[in-house]
Amino acid sequence: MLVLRDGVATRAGVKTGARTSSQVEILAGLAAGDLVITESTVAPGDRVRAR
Amino acid sequence: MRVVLQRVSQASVTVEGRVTGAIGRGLLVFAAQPPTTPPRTVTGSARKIVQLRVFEDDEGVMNRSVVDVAGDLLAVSQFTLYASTRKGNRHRGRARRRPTSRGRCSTRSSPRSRASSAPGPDRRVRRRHAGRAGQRRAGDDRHRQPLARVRPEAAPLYWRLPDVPPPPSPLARRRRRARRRRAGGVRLRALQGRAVDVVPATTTRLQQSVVVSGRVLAPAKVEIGATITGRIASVAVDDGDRVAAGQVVVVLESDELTAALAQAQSSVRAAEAESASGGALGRPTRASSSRRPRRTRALPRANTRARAPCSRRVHRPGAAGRVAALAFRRAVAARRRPLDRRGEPGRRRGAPDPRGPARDRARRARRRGRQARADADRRAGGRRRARAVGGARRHRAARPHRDDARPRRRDAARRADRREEPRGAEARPGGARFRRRLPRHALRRGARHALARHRRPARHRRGEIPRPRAPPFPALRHDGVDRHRVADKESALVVPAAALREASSRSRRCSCCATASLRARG
Repeated sequence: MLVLRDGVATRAGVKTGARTSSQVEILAGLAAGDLVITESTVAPGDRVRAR
Repeated sequence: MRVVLQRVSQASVTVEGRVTGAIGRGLLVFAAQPPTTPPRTVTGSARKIVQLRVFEDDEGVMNRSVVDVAGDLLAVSQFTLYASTRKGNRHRGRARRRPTSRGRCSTRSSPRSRASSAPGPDRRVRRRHAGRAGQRRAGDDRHRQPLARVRPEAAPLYWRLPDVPPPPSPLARRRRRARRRRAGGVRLRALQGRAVDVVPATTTRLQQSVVVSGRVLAPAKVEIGATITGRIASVAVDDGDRVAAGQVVVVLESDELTAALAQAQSSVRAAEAESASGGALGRPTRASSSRRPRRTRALPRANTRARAPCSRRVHRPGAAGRVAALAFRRAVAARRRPLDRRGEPGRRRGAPDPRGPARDRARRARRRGRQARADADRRAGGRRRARAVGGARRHRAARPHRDDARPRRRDAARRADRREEPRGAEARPGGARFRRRLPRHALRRGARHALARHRRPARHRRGEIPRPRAPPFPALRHDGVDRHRVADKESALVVPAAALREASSRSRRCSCCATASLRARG
């Protein structure tokens, strides 16, 4: 999972829990408010900004 | 505006011995803009510069922008890009605009770029190419060439500078400043990388329900029917009702049967009355006995009870006797006729079919055929014989010889025979199973192959493969949401599933319904 940190797409190892068809529960590795990148074309280390 | 870009591993600008700007890996930008350059052009060029994908990615393809590789920018003003070199050896581009005043060059406003504002001659730009040593062949000056020109209108370095425009009015200046502020914002954002869709991880209730459409299958199937044919008067149950053995499900119409019964009873009563008085009035006569319907002799035994008084020949002559006999005949005829034909006038044997002479012929032919087949069956003693048709051997019931039993192919009677005889094994002596209704063309043209194909029994009937079994009753799968362990948590940190990048792209599917699996992992 890629998280936007300091303008750079950063890989975040997360532990997932329950999931539905559209959502996934995150047990560990993220904090509430973290910006998660949903695009698939972003590579780790890319400099990106939130749209 | 003209811009020359060069990828560098490092670059610096030295003015009078003092390094005024230096960068590491990134882009060296030589830019020149005539004074009339609209700010939009400058903005666009700046964006193009930072977005131009000229840096190699992991696969060695030019695929990443200077922003993507987190590179630096060194912007150097270079008014000679507008030099006129067409005539003479000295470039004639007068330095109408002294190299930029601060804030003019667009890329300068980026935090990572350094621009030199020093005038030309003393300035020295050092640069090292970005290409790695191993990539460069001797004499390959690929990297010496400008990698890109931003908005060069033409290849020759020729431009006739227009006159310097009059200074803008205060209002226009303010507007331009505002535009630049906005544009500056754009430039900054461009440097920050491309915009991507992000979603904040939120703590919320995680819940999912499943809506599935399906068909309910019963565990067992029972076909019910009546032993007599008749119209259904009422159906006492509804779809889905629970029924018990012995319960009335369907009521057949009994009007005609009741009427027939009443008729028979009345005739019985009439006969009894007759016999009561007839005993006193006299013996039955020949005349009355001859009125007895001939066909009653063929009646089944069950009917004898109904006509018992009559069969004792107690009718007396005269009008009363004729009436009684008539009623009796009608009652008997009503009983003999099939249910669905009651109410029609009885047709005597040999009477013309009211539906036309063709039906008539067909009927006669049918009768002949039946008779002949019955004879042949008698002769053959019910035994079957194998007969080859179209190379395949199969059993068929003994059939009479063509001459006496099978009318010619085009005969209407034969067609009628084929089509109207009762079908199914029980309709045939010996329960032969092979006969089916043939397609029209097989009859008409006598196409043997079509006939053979049509008659070829299924493989399981020939014993080659076991008879297919009905699939076992499938259990109802979607009988409750619990089976799916649908997620329902009061509070969970949730991100969209699209954000999750799985190590393996193994699809997680529910085995029974092909919807995405909802099972909790771990």
